[in-house]
Amino acid sequence: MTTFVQQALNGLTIGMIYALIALGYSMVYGVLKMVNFAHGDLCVLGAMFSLTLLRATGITKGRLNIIEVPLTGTRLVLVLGMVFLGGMLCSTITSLIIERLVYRPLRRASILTVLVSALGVSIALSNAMMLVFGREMKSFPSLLKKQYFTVLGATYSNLQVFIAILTILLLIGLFYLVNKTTLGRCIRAVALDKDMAGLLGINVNRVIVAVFALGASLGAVAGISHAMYYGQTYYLTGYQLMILGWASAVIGGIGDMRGCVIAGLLIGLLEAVGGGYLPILTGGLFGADYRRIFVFLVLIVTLVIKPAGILGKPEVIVKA
Amino acid sequence: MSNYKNDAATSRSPGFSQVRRYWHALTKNTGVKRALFIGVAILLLALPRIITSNYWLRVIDIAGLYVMMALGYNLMFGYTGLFNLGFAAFFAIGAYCYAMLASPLHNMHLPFLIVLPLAVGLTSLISYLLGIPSISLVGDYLGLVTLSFAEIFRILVNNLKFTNASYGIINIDAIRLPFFTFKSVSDYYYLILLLCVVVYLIIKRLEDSRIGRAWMAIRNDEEAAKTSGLDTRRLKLLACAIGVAPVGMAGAIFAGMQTFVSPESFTSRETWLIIAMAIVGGLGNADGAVLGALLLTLLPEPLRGTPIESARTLIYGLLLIFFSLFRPQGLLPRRYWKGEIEEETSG
Amino acid sequence: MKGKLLRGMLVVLALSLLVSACAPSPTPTPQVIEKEKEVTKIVEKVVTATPPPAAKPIKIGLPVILTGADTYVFGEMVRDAAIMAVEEINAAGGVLGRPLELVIMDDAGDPAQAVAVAHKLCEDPEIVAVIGHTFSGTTIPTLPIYNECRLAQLELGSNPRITIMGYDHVFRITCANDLITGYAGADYVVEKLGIKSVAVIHNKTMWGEAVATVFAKRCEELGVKVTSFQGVDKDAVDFTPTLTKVNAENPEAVYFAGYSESALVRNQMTDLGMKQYYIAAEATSSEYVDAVKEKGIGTLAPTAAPPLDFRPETRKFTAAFRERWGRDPEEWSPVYYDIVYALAAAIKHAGKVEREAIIKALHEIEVPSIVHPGGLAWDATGEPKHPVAFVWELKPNLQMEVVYVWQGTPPYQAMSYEEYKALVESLLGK
Repeated sequence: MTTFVQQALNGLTIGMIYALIALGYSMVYGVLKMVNFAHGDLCVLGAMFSLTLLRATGITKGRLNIIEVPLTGTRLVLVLGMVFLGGMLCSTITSLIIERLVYRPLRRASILTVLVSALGVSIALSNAMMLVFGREMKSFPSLLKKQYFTVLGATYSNLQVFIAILTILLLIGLFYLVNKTTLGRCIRAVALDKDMAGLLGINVNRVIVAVFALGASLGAVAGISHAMYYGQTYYLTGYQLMILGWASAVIGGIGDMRGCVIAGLLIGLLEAVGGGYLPILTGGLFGADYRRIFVFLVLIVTLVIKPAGILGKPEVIVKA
Repeated sequence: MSNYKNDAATSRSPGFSQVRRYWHALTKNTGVKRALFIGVAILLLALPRIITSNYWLRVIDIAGLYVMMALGYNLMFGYTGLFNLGFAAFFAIGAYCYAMLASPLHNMHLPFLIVLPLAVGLTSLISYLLGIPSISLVGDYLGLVTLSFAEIFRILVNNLKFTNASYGIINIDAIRLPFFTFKSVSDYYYLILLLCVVVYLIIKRLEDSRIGRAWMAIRNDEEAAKTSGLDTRRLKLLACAIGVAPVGMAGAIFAGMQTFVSPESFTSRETWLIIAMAIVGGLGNADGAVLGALLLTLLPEPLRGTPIESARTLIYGLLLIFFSLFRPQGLLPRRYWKGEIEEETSG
Repeated sequence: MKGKLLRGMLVVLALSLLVSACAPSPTPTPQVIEKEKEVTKIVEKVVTATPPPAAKPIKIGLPVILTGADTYVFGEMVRDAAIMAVEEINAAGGVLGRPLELVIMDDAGDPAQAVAVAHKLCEDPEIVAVIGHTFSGTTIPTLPIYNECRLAQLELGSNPRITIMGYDHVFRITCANDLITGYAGADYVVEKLGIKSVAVIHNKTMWGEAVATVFAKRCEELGVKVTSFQGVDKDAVDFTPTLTKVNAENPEAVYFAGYSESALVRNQMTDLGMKQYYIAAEATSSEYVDAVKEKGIGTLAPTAAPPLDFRPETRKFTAAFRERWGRDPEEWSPVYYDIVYALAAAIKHAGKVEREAIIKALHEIEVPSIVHPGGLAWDATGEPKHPVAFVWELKPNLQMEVVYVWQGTPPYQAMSYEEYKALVESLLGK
């Protein structure tokens, strides 16, 4: 039982990160009907850049990026603010440049052309990161001094609590923005019908820019949380984040924000709990190294049975 | 209608269409056409005599494998519009099929002529089976399913004892026919050349056939195709099965000429390389796929060993962006039959 | 058209500059400037390597990984170490009065590209030996090619199968192949701990099972009773059933060959109150230490990775590397540095710059090494004659320290070639 609770808690933490990434996919898909393959790399870019900030300001030193000065109180808040805001800013700016230079000229092009360009952006971005930030697997400091709590016999670290609170706050903010503000109404209108929204006087370009900025900021937070949680970041991590974020977005019903969050958590849980119990369920035939198979199988099954995702609307995805 | 086509082509790139017009004028003359054909054939056959470098021949061999794969991709994506992101897995199926049936691993040494159809058949069958539940999904969703399949397949190959897990399979038999064993890179050159020509001719033939036109109709407008009485589902499944066949074939030959396979040869890198080739060459045109595959395997080679070799992957990515933006139809655009309106392009 | 093309170029330019615009901090720190200087230095050194002796350089192929994954440890870090050694040798007058020159080439860690690289290196008649490839997966398909053009191949892959494929041009430069970690652990158990019984567990991966099998075999040879031999699932989380069973057998030590599960096994042993010695193959990472903390004190970890500070020579190398490149070397850097010197010694021994002669010389020489205390020498199959492995121990101050340097008889010397070949094939597949 303890093991189950432990696995579930760990799974939920990573699930929150997936949910944040999935939201970025989902929102961009909502307004542009395109899959932004580069989203995973934008997340990693945020982490890479904030690490560069930490090193440039002398907070972390050496190959292992060890924190030299103890971070407490105001200092900690300032540093965390710098890390997250810096990362978000870098990802957002990059995302907007990509939107302006690549995606906007392709707005009326065929969907396949757009997909290929997104693929190109993803490849170019990850390799540019390799050349600019370096090839090594970078050790990323957790910034918080590790403390552990016990919940139902399982151990939970303050970093996990931090990630959970941060995610929940961001989600509340985002849902408020989308559902209650004018910008949110515009986003929903553009998602519903871009041309109609334009005719009604909404500045579609501005809305799309806002969506890209929001998606990239959430992605950067996810990327930094991922780096803090696993203690490392690497120029190729974006590919895995891309697949899992995309999978969450699709399982949840792309375009549906609540669905994305639920699916992200579900995938996190599935990975952790499924991985833990797979050997027991199969009598040792399949080890935990098969856990990703679970995720992909669930994805394929979801797409086949209910292609619109668990909460999505059916009409967009299947051509009769 | 044809006027519209010419206008569009002229306004897009006058220089290029000029060249094309000269080319058409030149090749209209059957004598010139025949001479060109014979010249190219002689050049291709004599290539191992002209290029004595094993290195370049090996690069050309690999380019030939990519030609086959790009032709397959072109059939699925270019003709029919099916977005497949799992080509690496089909390449691996072909390669592992040969590796397991012709190596000491399971103590099986079946001859190439038996394994090749098996590998091709298995690859097609798996693609067909994967297509049955997922074929009705729209573009990027199909991409996601095939990508997931490729990941699942990679995890399995990397862990199953049956495929010798991450250690890979060594000492795979060289490809042999009843009276001949392929040894050197130039031996393989002729094998690959032959199969490339076969695949090319088949696909070219399909392009002009009823099925080919039906595929293109599906790509252009599936609803319309369906209304005209086409069984779009069956046609798409057919494209799935036929499109990966050359990929399975390339995999089997790869295993034979490499004499070693391991999971690290079949990463997603292979998939997007093939996509880049089909895009750069020109989607929907078999000649384009051939050109793209040759260009993207041969051109980066001189960079090897120079200080900018680290940027090769970056260049691939930028090429994809560049072509999507400014020449989405690729270097050799697909031909439009009479009455068809060219796809609206951007830029 | 012109405008469009211009725009196209601008897009490409902007994209390539995009990330570079993001990367540097607002004010370039001294580190950044230093790094830029370094880069220019590398380029100068690599491209225009014209050291004092103005003779024709001796070219050595160096295929490493520069694109794709693993480009740091198996790319930059080994390349830089080799460059450093070449610079030193050339500064001291070169070999046979001629300077050395590295021909660096990217194989992307991809077996298909590795073969093309091999053909390319073979066809440059001035190249006389090759240091690479870096993975077993890229080494195995290139073996027949280098063999045909008679280039000595000094390879880093640790898969035991490489040396049983019947080639005489290949030399393993890793400290020890995958099987030896098992031998090292067994010898330590007998020699230093003097125990009489051990329980063996592995994580059912090819590597884990192979290492554990060799460990158990060696233990039995040395008269230690193996109370049980069993597998657990890689990445499983609950090992208490297995450990409870093992505890009932009451062995004096528990051996575990696995990856990250090592820490979980250790923690659950403590929870079960098991007091046996714990030997965990390759559990030297900081992740392991972080995960076990005080519970793990006394853990013994046999591994083949050379610690950077275990001999004065390696310490000197680490300092020099830091000075030259401004960062710490990685685990395989000293090996590449070392091997350039060994190759230089072989060329000197051969007396002429010729491929076949260098292969012959590499089989004959016996040279001192900064990594191998027993010196570098290879047997007929290309395995090191004096392989070395290490046993680390987690000390009470939570630091890993080397407590035992294994230089015993490796399995390929302890048994006949046929027996060894059969063993490897049974463990790793034919």
